Amino acid sequence: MTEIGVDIGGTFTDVVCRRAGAPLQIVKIPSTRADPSVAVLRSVKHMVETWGVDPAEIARFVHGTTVATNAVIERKGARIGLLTTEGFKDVLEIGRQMRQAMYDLVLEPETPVFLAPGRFRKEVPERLDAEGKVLVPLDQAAVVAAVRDLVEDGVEAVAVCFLFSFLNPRHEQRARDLIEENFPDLMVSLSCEVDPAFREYERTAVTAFDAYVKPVIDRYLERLEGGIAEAGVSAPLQVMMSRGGAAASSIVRQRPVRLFLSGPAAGVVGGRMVGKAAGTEDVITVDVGGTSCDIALIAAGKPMIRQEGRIEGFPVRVPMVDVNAIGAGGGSIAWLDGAGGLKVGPQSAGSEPGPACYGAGGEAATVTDASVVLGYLNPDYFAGGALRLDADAARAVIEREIATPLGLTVEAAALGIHRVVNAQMAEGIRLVSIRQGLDPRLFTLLPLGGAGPVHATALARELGIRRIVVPRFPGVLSAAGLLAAQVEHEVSSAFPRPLAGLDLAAVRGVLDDLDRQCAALMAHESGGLSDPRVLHFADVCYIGQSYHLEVPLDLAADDPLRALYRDFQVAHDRIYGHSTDAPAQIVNLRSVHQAGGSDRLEDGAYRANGEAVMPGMRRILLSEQTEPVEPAVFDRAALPAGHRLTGPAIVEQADTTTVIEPGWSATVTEAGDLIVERGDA
Amino acid sequence: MQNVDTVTLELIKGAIRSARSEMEALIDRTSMSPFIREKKDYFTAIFDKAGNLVSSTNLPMAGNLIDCILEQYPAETMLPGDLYWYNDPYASRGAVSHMPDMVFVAPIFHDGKLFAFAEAWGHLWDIGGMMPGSISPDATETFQEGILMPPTRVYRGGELNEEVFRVFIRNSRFPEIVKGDVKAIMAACRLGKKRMEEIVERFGHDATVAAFEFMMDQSEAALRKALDEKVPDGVYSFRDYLDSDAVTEQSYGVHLTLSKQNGSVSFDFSATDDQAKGAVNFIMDQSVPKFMAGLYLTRDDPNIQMNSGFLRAIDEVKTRKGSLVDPVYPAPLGMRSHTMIRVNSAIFGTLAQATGGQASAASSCYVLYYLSSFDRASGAFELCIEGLAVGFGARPMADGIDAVYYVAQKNYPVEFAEMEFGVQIEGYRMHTDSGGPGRYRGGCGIVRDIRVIADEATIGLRLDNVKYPAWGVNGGQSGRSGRVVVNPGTPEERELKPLSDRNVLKKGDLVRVTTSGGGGWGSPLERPMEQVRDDVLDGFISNDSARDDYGVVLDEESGEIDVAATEARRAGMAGAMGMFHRRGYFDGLEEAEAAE
Repeated sequence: MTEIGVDIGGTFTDVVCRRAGAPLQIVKIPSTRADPSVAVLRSVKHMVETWGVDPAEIARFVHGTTVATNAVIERKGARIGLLTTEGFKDVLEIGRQMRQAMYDLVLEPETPVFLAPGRFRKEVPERLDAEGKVLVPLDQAAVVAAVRDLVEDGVEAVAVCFLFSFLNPRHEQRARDLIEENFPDLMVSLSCEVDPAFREYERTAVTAFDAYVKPVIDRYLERLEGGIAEAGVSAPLQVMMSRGGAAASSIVRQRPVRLFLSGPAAGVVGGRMVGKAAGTEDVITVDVGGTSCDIALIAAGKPMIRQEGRIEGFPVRVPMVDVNAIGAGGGSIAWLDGAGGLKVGPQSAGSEPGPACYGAGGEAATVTDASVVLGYLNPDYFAGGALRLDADAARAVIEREIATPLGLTVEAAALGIHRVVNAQMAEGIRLVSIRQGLDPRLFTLLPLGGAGPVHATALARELGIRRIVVPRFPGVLSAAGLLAAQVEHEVSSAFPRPLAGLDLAAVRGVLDDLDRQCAALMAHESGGLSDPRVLHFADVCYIGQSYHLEVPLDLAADDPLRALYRDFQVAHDRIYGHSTDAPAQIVNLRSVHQAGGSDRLEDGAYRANGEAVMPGMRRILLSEQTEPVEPAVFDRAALPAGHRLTGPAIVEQADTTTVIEPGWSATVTEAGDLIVERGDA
Repeated sequence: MQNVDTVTLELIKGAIRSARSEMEALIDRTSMSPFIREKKDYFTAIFDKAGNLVSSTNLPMAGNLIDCILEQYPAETMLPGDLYWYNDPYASRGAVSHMPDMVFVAPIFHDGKLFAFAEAWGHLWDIGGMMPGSISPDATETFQEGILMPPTRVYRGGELNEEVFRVFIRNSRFPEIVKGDVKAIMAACRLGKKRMEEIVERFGHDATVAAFEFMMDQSEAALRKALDEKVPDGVYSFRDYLDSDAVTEQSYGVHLTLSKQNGSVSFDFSATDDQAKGAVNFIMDQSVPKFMAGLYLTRDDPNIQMNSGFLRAIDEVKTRKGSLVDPVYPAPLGMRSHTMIRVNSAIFGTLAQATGGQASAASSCYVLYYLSSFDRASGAFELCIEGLAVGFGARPMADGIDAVYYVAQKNYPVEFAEMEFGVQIEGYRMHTDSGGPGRYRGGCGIVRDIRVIADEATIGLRLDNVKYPAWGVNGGQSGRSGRVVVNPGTPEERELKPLSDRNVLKKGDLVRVTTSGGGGWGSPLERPMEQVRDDVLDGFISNDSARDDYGVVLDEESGEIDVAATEARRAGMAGAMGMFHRRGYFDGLEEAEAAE
């Protein structure tokens, strides 16, 4: 059996191929920004021509994509129209009447008005009350007339968001039928399907985002499906969704707003897999790329999921892995604020011109330049020797931009840059751990991306973490995660009912219906998926609260609703530090069906090759309090399983460099991962 | 004090900031009353052991929150696990400026030594008083505005003083909601304390205390620099007006004279009108105008925090006892924000004069209504308090923000309001043409239509800027006023007084609240015609306003710009005739309108 994972990043499209009994094969193909599917199709060609893969033998083809995210960031989604209940066309514009900074002179709107400015928003007579009963019947002629106007103004898709449609979807559904009858080419997103939950602004926004990316995603995936079929791949295309599960392309095209975290979600799934292989289910992943650092937490083998995410600062209320992205990466620029404070990021030198040490005209002092000054990176063996770093340029830029203005030595300035960026990453880790009531010291740190392992021991030290796993392929873990991903379908329903006196049969009834919907979605998947795992959840809050917590609901328990209330109180106390015996209520019910997935990255055993110890010692500086040390330098690919080394040490490999501070030691596992632990562990 | 490197100081600053945002998130997520959980009417802060503000929510309210506690409970008598609370505006000399804002303070210790305070206040739903919600336009003394809690120790060494808690809760019409909110606010204080303990553990006592000083020094230096660069020496006076105090027809002026001589800055409010009979009195701590000016003048640097550093950069704030901003006990205070907002706009008015118009136009005062309803069948009594957005003043290089609540607080979702309260919301739109015309347009207010579905209801209203709309600046025109109408467009149509209470409504009545817009900046004749056309297409201004205010003529059929007609029209229109505009242009001090 052959399985393929293809993950599109900003610079590279990563391809991973897993075949029974063979070592994993990996290639990075330059991404094609204008049409990302070109790189995907090139990678298929590479598999066939270089690896000798028979396309017909491919059983699974899973894809992670940034197309939806980029459409929003670059404002290149479709021109859409928005249909609302009469009286409410400005809900998208007014939002929650918030502004974060009251005195800023230039502020962008804090609502995503760009999705549908006033002229593209139309009202139609219809109204439901707060129980979902019809107060004003839908004016069908008005729907057709409004959409006709929008079509004449060039819209490609329409979002429909009527008040209280989460309690009664019939008006929205009828509107869609009318649109489909009269304008068959138009794409439609209904709020009762995208996000059936209360708060009309948040529901309108996510529905409008869905419509905004739908034509883009639809064209993209259609082209991709056709392309891989043409190349002889018969396996259906699967796409990673923000929640960390994959689904058939045909279904994803219906719910494109669930793709915003497609790539990061794959990284989290990959992290879970590597953690498992290293014997732990509690992992914090830190993916440090060029411009940002993505942090996620996996507790007891389950990635943390949030029910409302954000894109570009706008609310997107669909479930997604709780990835905390901070603007701190290798390319992040160090600068001095008006009061002389040292800051790092969020501006980044990116890959062009990149850090000064790339020698491509970069004029800004970056974290990577600091890493060169401190001796962490080997100028002659960066990216496997593909790029020679200019150490003098790194020194010069840090001296000019930071050291001289602050009156510091170049080394002290470089250490300062690392301290600031490490503190930002550590703060990001606290956010996903301590703020969720979870102690980071009980977790294993999993550094990813080219720069992650450079910072790992420093981060672990700051947070009191004692164990780090550096995966064998930290640079392509997202693509590997695609292979590990389960197929997953999730459907939820608003269910605003107090827990006290609640009839379990009513809960069962709703969940049965949600299970049927999940099963129907699952039926679209091919590939012999047996017996899906069925999980149920309830969003619960104390009556009167605005925010809820997702709590697992076990229908097989003795008294499922009593257990739900108890588990909610425990979670509330863990996360917020207080709980009461006040009455609680359910807000939403949710069903999740999962199938497939794997925990092992490859079947073939890891084999080392080459000379383990690299020639040439160098001096590295770890703190201002200590003298520079001379670490041993190792070639990662040459370290055999079971090999043990102690810090100070540096382990180099084509896609990253691991810095091991004194007091830490490392062991190579059978799978080829590097486990780094505090010496006194 | 040891010499701490600036990198460490910045790291501590970041950690304090994030501790505070965690306190806010906790209140946000676990509080019970719609005021706090949906509207976000709360404030968190960290103070040093002397009571200097180090870091807080960027809300220019008073900064002397610890002083009255230290006076009652000297620092040396405090213990770890103590928690203090109060809401008494007079006893705290305006630290809390109206009584629903209940303040909680936790002292924080390291090795048995007091080194900081964590503070949080939240606006409680109801603390007794003459009307549900405790703030009434009808109030004439502070005793009508609910229970007064002087500085009180509610926890001693971790033990709850349950008696005082019970007494307080007994005074609310909605004890369960208030209990839940108080729990959330107290939990936020404890969280802030815990995080500060972790910070001092991580960085050490001396470095942490040094960071407090460093943050205040930074803010002081930034404000001094901004004053130096932006405000030339001179004397600048401005007077802004409130429509009324609700119980009389009288308007009130807030008068500020800003003087700067040789780097020394003084704010003199002595010429402000006498205190009011109604609840618009504002016990203005001297920190308030300093924070307002500081936040505005240092806005370009997001790393500068509002803290006691600002207080050092401005030398004096003068008020006159018995005036609107320094009232004598027991003047009512519930609606003090109407005056507070005029303090802010008076500061902008003086800065506009000092900078040749490079300051924002005035913003409208936020709007509230208090709808009490009674359902005969269930016997249920409901209180719906909604805060409504207004338009903000245009800025020297951008339009005013449309539809925002003055102090960054959220609205209620329509679906929430209908599920929670006995109302039906029938419309929620931009208030077309309410933004003051200008090169940069003032922000628009909103229209909210509320249908009464309970058997009986009364409504209290707080809508200002009707008689005195938000002024425009540098050639920009004033915003346009809002109003409140019952059953608009029907034979039963009637207008309600914008600042009034206990208006009786019957089942089926529709109340239309239309809020005021912000002032414009620069001459409307200089606004690019394409932007005017877009504003028409997107519903911010009408065709008539495009023609009459902006001189832009649009083709009736296509909606496209008639360039020739526009140029001709603009050439024939008079331009701006003064620095400020409210109904007409004026330069210096504006005369009050004659009483009707």
